[in-house]
Amino acid sequence: MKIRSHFTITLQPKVQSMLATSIECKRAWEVLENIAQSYGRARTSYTQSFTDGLTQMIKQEARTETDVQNMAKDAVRRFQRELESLFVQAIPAKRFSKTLSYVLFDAGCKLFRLHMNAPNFSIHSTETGDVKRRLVQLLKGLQMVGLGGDAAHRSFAHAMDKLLSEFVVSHYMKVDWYGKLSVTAKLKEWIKDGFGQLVLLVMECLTDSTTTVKLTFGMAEITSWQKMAIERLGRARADNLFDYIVNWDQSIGAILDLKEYLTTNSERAHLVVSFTGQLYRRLLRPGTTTTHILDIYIYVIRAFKELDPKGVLLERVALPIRRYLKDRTDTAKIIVSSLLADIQDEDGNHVDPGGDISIEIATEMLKPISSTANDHDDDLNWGDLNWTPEPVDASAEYKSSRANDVISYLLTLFDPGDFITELKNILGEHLLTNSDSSFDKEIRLLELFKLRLGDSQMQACDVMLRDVVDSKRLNTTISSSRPTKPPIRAHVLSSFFWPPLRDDTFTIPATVAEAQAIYAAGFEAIKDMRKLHWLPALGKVTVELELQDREVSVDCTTWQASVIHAFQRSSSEPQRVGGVARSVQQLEDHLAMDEALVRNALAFWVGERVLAPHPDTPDTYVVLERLTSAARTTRAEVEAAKEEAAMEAPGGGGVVTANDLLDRNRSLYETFVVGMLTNQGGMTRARILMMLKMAVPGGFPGGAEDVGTVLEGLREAGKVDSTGADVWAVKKG
Amino acid sequence: MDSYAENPPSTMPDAKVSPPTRSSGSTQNTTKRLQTELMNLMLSNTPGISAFPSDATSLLHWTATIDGPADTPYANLTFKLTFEFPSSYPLQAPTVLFKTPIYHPNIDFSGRICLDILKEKWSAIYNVQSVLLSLQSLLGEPNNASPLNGKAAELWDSDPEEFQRQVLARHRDLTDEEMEI
Repeated sequence: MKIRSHFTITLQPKVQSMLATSIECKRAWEVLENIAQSYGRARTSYTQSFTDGLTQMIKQEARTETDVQNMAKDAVRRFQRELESLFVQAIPAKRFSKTLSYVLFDAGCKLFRLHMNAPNFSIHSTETGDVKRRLVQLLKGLQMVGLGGDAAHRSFAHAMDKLLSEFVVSHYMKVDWYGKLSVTAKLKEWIKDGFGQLVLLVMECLTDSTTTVKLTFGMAEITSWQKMAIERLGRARADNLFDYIVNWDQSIGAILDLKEYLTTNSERAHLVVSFTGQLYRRLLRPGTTTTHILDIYIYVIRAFKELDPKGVLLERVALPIRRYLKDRTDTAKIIVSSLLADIQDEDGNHVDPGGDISIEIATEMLKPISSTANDHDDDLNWGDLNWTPEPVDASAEYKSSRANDVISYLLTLFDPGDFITELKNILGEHLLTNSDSSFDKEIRLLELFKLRLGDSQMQACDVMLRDVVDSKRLNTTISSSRPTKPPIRAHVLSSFFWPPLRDDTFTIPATVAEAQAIYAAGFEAIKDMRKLHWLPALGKVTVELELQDREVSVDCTTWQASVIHAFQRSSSEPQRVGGVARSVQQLEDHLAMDEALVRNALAFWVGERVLAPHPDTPDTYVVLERLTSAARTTRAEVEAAKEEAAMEAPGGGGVVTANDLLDRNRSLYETFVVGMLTNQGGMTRARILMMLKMAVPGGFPGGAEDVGTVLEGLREAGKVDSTGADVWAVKKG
Repeated sequence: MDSYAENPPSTMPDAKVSPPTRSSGSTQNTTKRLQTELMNLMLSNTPGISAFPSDATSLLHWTATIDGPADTPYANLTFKLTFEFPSSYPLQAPTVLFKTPIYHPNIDFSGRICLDILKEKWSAIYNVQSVLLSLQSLLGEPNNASPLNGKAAELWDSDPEEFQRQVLARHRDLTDEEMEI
């Protein structure tokens, strides 16, 4: 009793004060060691005094010496047990277990050097010996004063749990960027040699030495720990999967780690959900360029092919990307132009193709295609020993024999028809601008497309290519039999197969018209009286200008050439000082050309420093016969004009874009809309779009916004009105 | 070239397949013809008549509008009609019905029309536009020799004022909801 009160008075406050406030991590070791020491000391002294008193008491009652010893032993044991419970009660259990678990965790970290660099799994090395000794001493001390046992086991379990998580995110488990290998093997090794050994050590210390139960850990425990560890690793990897995908293919190690983790369906589902979330958060944003999304999509395809060769996961995660890509208007265009792009020069060096080209797609196109002949149903092949059932989480439309190459994934994004329309446009543009090459590359690409999209669909492209090649031959023949001045080379195109081409008309210079007539005669002679229909706006001209102080030779478009030709001094005009001046209006009338084209051509020639705006009269331009110093100073203006010429080029290339088409046929669409609304009553914009797409021959090229513009135009003309909620109807009265 | 010579059988199945596909070819022709008609109708923009497909998935159903000709009992009234084209159009006549209730000697109360070119005298040279023009003129000049509505035929001759009253009593513009049906 005395002892109890002594303890209460002296030791308890001390211990409690130690644990009273939350303990700083750094001091945790000290605190626990202090507790162990003071408890140890108290225990020794209490036991000593107890035994002293006891022996005297017993001696009076005891009969034999052995009895004395037995009774004393019993009493001492009972006393010690009481003492231990006193000790345990004296300290706040929760805080103690927390502190202990921290100490163990810290010991683990130190032992495995989680926050240091040198990899060393063994806990038996000399450098970590100190930590180990200290830990063993502390644990033994605690065990002796009765603070071991179940509570300590629980703390230990807690600590090991944390240790495992810590290890998984530690530098040991970082993705192997250079070796491109999985780290799971390393993880398993650590569990066996490091983690398991530590557990064994601690458990030995914390278990009552008197009990005879031998502590052993079999393979079963080790395996289950390894599983736990890999699961944690997998989760950590899954949460960062997007980063790994972006850095494909340095990150293949991480993907291999994941592969090990994906064993059950719940894990696969978790991966899909997590990755889809990352996609929505980080990729599928209006600010991302379509090119970037396409590149990432290709990485995703490659990575998930590695992860899950059956393609089920890919199908799941690709769904949002595909859906998003379909909504982007420029997707098909970028895919096709990337496929056609040159990313290698003759020596095989990569060249940067510029903005709207996905390099990944272009690289993919250079690869030889794997045989896609393997189309027959594998399920009916009874002799196939490698057959496996379809994955259980596969969706109903799942097909295991999906084509393996990346391009086919991209080409299945849209209907083949959409792609071919786009391909025709881009190929047409491409063929018209690169008229000098031998078209080997184009022929190869067409064959590749045929393999993927089918022969029949590609007929138009075939014809286009053949037109261009034939034209070259024709040019040689005609120019040798009927030479013209200036020499003329034509592309003879089968208009039926080509996409709509720009057909702005204007008066071409008389000499060129003559040459055209000669060429046409030659053509008719060869081709059985077939007539040529000239598209003057599509040509390219090399112009040589002789000015008073210099000669200029430029490649330019036909309208630009016609405009400069109009500046030629005609014989009727009086000789005047300075260059010839023409106003925009004069040129328009003279050439029967659109104002936009005239202005573009003028800007071009100002850029070439052949023309300059007239200093006095607005909208009038003069030929710069002499490049004076005054003219030189206007360099900034010239640069601006050059830029303007490049920017303004109406429609740019030879093929008519959807927007041009929309503008050109606007009145037709308006008639259709009015007819539709007259007969059907009020309709929503979406429905109008749907009807237009069906009813207009050749289809309606625009989307809902374009219908909106048509409707607005009609509203301004007072023909239709919106009756609210996007419903449009013919205006009554 | 060589491939043709080596496996001539490959061309055989194609030849066999083609006869059954003729029917789908004919619906394609029908669609093409209807599209051309629509285009012509839109471009000619004849006053008083108008027609447009009513179904976004098929060109075989149209709705048409006729303005009543001036100087007839039907002046200042508009009439809605439906056209149903058979897949053999233009070899067979479309089925034309008045949707707007109309009082007329050759049109019954459910909108059926008695007009020879829509029946036995149909020919492939007729089209939507000519049918609509015929119907417009039928409004002004009914064929009282073969009336569907005998009372109306009698009134047309005997009592034009009563006829006019009947026309106005019967006429009612369709609402948008009724148009949908």
